[in-house]
Amino acid sequence: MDFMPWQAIVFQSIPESIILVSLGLGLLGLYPPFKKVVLISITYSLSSVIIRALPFPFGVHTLILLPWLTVLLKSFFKMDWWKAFTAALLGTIIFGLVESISTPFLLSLTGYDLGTVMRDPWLRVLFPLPDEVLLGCLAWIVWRKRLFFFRSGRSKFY
Amino acid sequence: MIKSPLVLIALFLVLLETLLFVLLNLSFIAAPAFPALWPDAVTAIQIIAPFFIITSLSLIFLLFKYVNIELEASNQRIHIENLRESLENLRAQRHDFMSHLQVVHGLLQLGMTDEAREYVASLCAEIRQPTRIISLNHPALAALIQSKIALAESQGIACQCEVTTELRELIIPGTDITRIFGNLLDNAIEALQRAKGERRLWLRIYEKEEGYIFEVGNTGPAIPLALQAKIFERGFTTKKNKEGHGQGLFIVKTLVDKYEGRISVHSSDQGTVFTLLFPQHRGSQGFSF
Repeated sequence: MDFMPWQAIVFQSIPESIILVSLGLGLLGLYPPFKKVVLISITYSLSSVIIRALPFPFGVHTLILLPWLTVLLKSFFKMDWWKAFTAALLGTIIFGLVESISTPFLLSLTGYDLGTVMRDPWLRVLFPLPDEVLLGCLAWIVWRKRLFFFRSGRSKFY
Repeated sequence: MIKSPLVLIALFLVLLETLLFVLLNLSFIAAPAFPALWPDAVTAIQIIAPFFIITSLSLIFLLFKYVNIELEASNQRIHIENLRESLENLRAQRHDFMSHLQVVHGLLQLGMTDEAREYVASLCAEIRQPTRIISLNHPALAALIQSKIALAESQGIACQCEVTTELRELIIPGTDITRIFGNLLDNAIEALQRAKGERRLWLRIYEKEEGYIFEVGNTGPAIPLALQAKIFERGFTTKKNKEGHGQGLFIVKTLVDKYEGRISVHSSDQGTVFTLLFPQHRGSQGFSF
């Protein structure tokens, strides 16, 4: 169970969602209008506030949010199910991978424990900032240079 | 665009497996602050292991599938290259033919009819063999032989080709037959590049009671008797530069066995001959494109 303060929603969760969705779609060679990406990210982020408040162990929220993001992508962009699911998976995995590397490093560097970070709204915003900057740059490069793991076929986005 | 469901399933499995590993790792990191998804590491591994096994098996299956596809594509590329060479030969022959016609026309205009007749007779003898090759029921083999003979002749190697059958009842796909004879003819040409005396390559294709016989011979250096026994083993080569060699005859033997054929080698100071026998499949129309 995790109650997200407004600071974390506005300055952490929403930007993170924008990067996650952009990366997931970009790596499939899909570049929809950015306004729609922002809209879907806000919806995803707000729904994640509710889902994270549910009394499940760590990780289950992610497993619930994954199909939810798939549904959102499918309904917003009228994509194939498999494209939507792959985009959601790719974005989530990349975030998870970077977080699993950076979090222990930042915790040991700052001397904070995770409990303290999660309880302090501003620490909670600051702590994932390096990840967000790094992945934000990556997403920007992916979109700018049109880099992708595999082209998932022509879509109505271009 | 990815369309194969197998590739999609493998892709999802790999991604899900990665996600589970990431969640496992993160849940251990977050354990002090949040209730963990996995009670302990052993349970976590027990949950993830089946995914890992299924994913690995799927990837192995896909890997083999794509290796086979790549091999087929490689054979097709060889086949296309042979056809291209063959087309170039035909163009060159057309050019030669125009020159011959001009000679005959010139001789006839000068009233030298005997010389013209002799010239035409010699041309007919020269053209007969390639025509016979073209009549083979295996276009790929015909194209390959044409291109290899042209290659050998361009290197000053005298070529003889004797074809007395159309191979109508030979069932070997074009891609495999070009691999068999491509290797044998390449080896013969390479052996003749090292030959000091007479440089001659011959190919005989005929049929007997027991099947179709193919003889690929050359007057290159003799292969010692002790080495003849090992010549079809993988990695064996008589070439000085062993790197990248020693696969050709092994492939030939494997393919000959695949089509229930036989292959033997006889080498002496007079030359080296590879003799292949393939059974006739009575009643079949043979393989054609």
